Amino acid sequence: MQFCFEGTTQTGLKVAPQVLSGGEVVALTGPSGSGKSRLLRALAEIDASSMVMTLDGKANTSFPAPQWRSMVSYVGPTPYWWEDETLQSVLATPESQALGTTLGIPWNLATANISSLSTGEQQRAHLARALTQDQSRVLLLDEPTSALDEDNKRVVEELIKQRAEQGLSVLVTSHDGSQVARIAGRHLEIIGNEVVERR
Amino acid sequence: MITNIDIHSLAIAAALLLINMVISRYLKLGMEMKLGVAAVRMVLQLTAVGFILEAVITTQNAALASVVFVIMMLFAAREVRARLETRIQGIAGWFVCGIGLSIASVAMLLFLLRGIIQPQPWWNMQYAVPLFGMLLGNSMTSTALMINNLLGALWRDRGAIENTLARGEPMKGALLRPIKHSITAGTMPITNSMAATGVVFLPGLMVGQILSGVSPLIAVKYQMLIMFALTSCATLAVIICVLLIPMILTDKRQRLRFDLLVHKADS
Repeated sequence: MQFCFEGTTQTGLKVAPQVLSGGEVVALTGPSGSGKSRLLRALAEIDASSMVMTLDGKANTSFPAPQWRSMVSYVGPTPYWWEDETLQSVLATPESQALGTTLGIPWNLATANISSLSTGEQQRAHLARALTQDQSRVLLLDEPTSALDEDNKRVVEELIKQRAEQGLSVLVTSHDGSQVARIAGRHLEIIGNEVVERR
Repeated sequence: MITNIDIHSLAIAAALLLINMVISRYLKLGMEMKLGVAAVRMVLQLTAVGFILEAVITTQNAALASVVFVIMMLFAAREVRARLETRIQGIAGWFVCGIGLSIASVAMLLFLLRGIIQPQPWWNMQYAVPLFGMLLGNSMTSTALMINNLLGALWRDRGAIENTLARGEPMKGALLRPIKHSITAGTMPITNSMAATGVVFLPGLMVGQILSGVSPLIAVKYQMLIMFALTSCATLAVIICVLLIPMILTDKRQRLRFDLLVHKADS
């Protein structure tokens, strides 16, 4: 599996040709506001951009947009919910429920409005749903552990590595240098308005 | 036959507003000026409308009536737009505000004139103009409520919509909740009004007919006809807008064009 992309994002970030292979975890770092999230959103076609993207040689435009997004899955840093959502409705599949249990989801609040949970609990529910999507081939994780304590960070990092071992490509943004060292095999950095490979 | 109201009687009725103004003054509500301006506006607008309707109905001038209809539709669109907290920018925003209520009102008017009431001639202005005013006015309220609710939800729930899209849901799935809520918001007042008519209040049309000497049983039949027409017309206007808005705000890769939205608090 190969995920290739190049071009310019909405905010003018220039991206030289990049290739992510299946099984690879690549970290994307850069200062706040440098355009990391915008790049991930452009790759998942949440934002319009002039990026050229292919998955196994097929252009993004050859897929219906929803299919592209289900294969190139963007997981934002903030879990936004509909006002009627509960843990039970968010984690509806057995896989997501199992992962939720691993992440310490408080199942005693299964039917409570999910917005009433703590920020960390909401982020864990958000990740449990996102990391168990069937059709994902590429995971674009935008600061996935920003609201988690150290123990849960390590659990999520292990899950990310497991998903990569199952053949997915993972592009993850982080401000935590030690986390990058722990999980990523490659490191891309935004310097100025360009994405460069750090060696 | 109804008794004509002389100008002195109207003045006495208008003087009742002075009581409201005194109360406002006493309670320091600051409403006196607003009440005064609203009353003067109403008097001027209704006087102008009275003369125009008199001219249209007595001359049966279809060209003049068409001009009046177009002006009414433009004002209705402007009124809808003015009530929105979140708007679509540019000409598309005006289009959304005006097209649904215009199509629905014209279609329902034609249906009533040609299919139900059948006056002679079918375009008799004595029927066409007041019916059109009622249809347009009700559709305007429903449309404004629906658009305000839908665009407000798109603005407020942007994150939830994008998260839903990011999971591979098509746009129609991502917008299902806001669309359902907005249709309910838009049609609720007219539906409630229909349910309460005759028990909680007697509608203006029926009261007007009874006051002018029409049998209450005939007035009731007219009122039923109007309520069915108003509800259908408002619902049709709401449905047209609800189909149109996602089309305008969605690009070819099923992304929402949030850049086309402008929120009053931010503008």
